[in-house]
Amino acid sequence: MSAETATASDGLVVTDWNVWRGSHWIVRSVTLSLPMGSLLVVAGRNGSGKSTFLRSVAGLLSSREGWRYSGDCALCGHSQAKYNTAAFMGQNLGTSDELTVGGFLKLQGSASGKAQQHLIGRLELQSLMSVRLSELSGGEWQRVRLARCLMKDSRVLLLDEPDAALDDSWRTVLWDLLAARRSLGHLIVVVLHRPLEALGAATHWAGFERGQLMFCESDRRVFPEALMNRLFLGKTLDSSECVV
Amino acid sequence: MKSLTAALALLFVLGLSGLMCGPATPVDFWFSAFESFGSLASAIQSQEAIFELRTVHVLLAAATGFALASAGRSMQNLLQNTLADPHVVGLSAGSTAFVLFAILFAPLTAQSVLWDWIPAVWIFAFGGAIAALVFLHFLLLKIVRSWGAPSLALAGLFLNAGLAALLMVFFARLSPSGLTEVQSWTLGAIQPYGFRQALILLPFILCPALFLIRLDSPLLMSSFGRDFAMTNGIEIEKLRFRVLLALTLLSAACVCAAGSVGFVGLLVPHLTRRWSAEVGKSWIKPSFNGIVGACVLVCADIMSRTLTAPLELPVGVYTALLSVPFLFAVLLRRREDLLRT
Repeated sequence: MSAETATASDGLVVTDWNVWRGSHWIVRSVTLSLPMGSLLVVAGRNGSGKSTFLRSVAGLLSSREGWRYSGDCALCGHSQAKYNTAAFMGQNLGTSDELTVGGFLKLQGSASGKAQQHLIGRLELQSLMSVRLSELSGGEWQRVRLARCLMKDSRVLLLDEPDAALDDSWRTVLWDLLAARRSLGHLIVVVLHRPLEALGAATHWAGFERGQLMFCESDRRVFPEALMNRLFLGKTLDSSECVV
Repeated sequence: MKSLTAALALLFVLGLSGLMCGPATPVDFWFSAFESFGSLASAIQSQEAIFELRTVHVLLAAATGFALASAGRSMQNLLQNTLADPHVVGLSAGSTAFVLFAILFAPLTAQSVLWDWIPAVWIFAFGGAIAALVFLHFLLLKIVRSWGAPSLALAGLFLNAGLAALLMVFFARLSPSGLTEVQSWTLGAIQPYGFRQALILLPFILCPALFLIRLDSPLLMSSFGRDFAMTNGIEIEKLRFRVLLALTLLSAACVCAAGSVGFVGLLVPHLTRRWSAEVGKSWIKPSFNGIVGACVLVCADIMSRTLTAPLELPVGVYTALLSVPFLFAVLLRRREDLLRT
């Protein structure tokens, strides 16, 4: 499906990947491969299986919690994704009325390195360091979470709606930061509801509908804008139409 | 660090007061001290039996308070719910139920001993907690097939409710004297052990509590949800199992020491969570929390021995009483936060 083919030891290789819970199928026969240095934007309507796909790639779906999967999903050479291979930023994160921003960023990790200090500066978190997490606004909390995720020393970033609650200026910063990571050869997968915002930074685009991967395209000239609109407008797609 | 030192100093003062308070009042104590040439040591000698009883009381109350507060904080983080307490998963209910069944049906009393000095009820307390853990494990893995925080909390509620209902059926038929005995286990009362028994029991209370304090940072991360903890390298299943194992030992040992004491495990983590935002070594905050727990239970123990002397009401009555103003303070602090933001 993809223009480039990633080797099994590098990047993300997903082959006939299915995820279900009980009798409820959430991701069906997804096959795609991404080399390191790619930035994939995954779009689709609510409930189309994007987030579950991302969590399954991150290795977060435990069979002890009722999740089942088949097929293969290799991340950086691990044939079954290990949960701490990637830096992951989910949609929902509980908050705490105990920790301050500084405490949260330091929790079981170091926030004192040069790169970390640069991130704190770029996301303008210095003035928030002694504020409790429960007192942050939605956008501030999103920036703190983003900093925490980007601080992880990992070559793979999996982000679920990282632009939620951010205003336009912070979105620009977000895409600058992600583009910088991509230029270092890191692999980034981002689930977005407004995929066109990532036009400048993304190298690949994928669309999900009812758990199925409708397309995964890397050529910007044939960026399937019309197809995206159709995905979001909810018209039924014939899979043959999806090959651009 | 300042808060920790202050809490330790308070615990020391409360501990000393605990040694001097009781049905035999402090006045009696100092009077006898003056009688025996004015020295505290000789007073202690002259009142050896009372001293032993009170030392054991204070030690067990402090250790139990420390353990319950630590376990409460751990459970609140593990279950991502600030209303959780050490009893929420039903391990202490299992332990208390086994002890009560032993007292009600087996031909033994709370004072029965094995090999001359180990109280027989201890075996039932530990057996009950282990049985409850095995039951939870079986229920969640084999029947519910889900081992997440909400399932664990619900399974715990189910176990608690089932055991409470079963016990109530038997309590309804008890004589008033039997009820008093039963109350000391269900409401929580420091049991009258000797030095040797207390020294055996203390490591079983304190070691799991210290273990939980060691796990505080991963637990704090797990309070942000499973995904966050796992992608930060925490093996959440292993962590949950370790915490439950420690909680099993701790619950059983606390039931042996003081029955099923309520409120400490709920109230103290609430009090200490927002006490100070100081970022320091990861053990400082949970240790502070534990020591405040020890202070609360020692204080409740002193109240139970003095306020209605010579009658000693179960210590659980006073932890419940103490929790009222403190919980009100927590509520008021919420209002201040709202006004500030």
